[in-house]
Amino acid sequence: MTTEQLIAVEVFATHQGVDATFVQALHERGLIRITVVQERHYLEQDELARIEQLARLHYDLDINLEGIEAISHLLERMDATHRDLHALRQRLRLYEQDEP
Amino acid sequence: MPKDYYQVLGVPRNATADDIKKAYRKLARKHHPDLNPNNAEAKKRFQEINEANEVLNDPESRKKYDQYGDQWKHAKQFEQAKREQGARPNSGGPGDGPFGGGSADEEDFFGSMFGGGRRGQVKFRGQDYQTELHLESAAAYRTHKQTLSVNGRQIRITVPAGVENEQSIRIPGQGGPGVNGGPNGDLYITFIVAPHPRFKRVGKDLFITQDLDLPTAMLGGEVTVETMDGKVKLKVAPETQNGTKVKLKGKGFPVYKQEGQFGDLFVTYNVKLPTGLSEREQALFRELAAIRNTASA
Repeated sequence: MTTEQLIAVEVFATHQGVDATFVQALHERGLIRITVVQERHYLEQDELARIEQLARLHYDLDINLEGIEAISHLLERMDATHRDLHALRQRLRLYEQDEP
Repeated sequence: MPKDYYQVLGVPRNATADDIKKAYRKLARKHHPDLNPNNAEAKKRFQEINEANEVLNDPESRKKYDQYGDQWKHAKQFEQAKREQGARPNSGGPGDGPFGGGSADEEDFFGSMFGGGRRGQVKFRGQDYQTELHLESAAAYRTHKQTLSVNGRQIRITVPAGVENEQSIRIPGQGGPGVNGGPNGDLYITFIVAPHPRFKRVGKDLFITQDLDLPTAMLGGEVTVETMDGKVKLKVAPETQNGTKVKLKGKGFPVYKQEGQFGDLFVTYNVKLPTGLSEREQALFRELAAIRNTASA
């Protein structure tokens, strides 16, 4: 991965108006990945949308970190279920097309 | 008809600022789009809640709303009209004031959604836009570029080969503009891929039914099968049964965002029994039946 795809944690925090400690806490709970390059902490670009989402839950909805952790797992399961449902719908469509 | 903001938040008209804040938080946690992905109804409800909160949590806006109801944004004009009314006793009241067109306040107001700013800053993320892009199956088979028109802006995107029907992609920052320095919203594009007239598609795999005549099914031979990138000749084994499936590896649909990888094509043989037999054919079938009966006796 090149450094062009990384955003420094403090840059992200300043831009988004969140505490860098919040980002660190998300990392400690295994909710996001942080890459360390020469002792500086970076976020991967494709994770930014997810971090913004978690920040909204915390700052806008006043949900604490434990709540965010639980919600994050539930959202992942919801997403997986949604994908399964989509695949099943596609398969069902295949059989329905066979009917006269 | 405009909704009553107090009703939207479920609080009485004499609710305290704290009651309003609590009611907003409670409803926002239930309907926030981040907690209700792909739920248009929740998104709409959240917009209403946000709109109500924007007005009622600001003492000045709330005062105007209490006085002028859904026309609160025009309070300044009403007050000016009142003053003018003092000078011209027969001029119109608040309900018939000359208030055409949207004010800057109004634009700010409707631009705000998806959560408030951080720690008291009135800074809002722009609205997310949703659009659909309709594609033929053949177009979804190859990576190509398309230009979309979204809210008057032309946006050029690359459609990766292998997109699925109803699949959505997010283009960050291409939604509505942020308010008071907030970030722009995102653009969500949902692909609507039309079914292929010949192939059925399940994810990366394709399915096709291929007719076989009886002699080829019985004695073996060759058959030409259509694929997404041209025709291929297949060898048919002797005594091929009706419904036999053959897998053509790598002849399916491209795997989304995995260049050079393809699914498989499954060909199901449908043996067509002959109709309109001539006398000679009937005689030969009778002879064949007699041979089969003798052999099985």
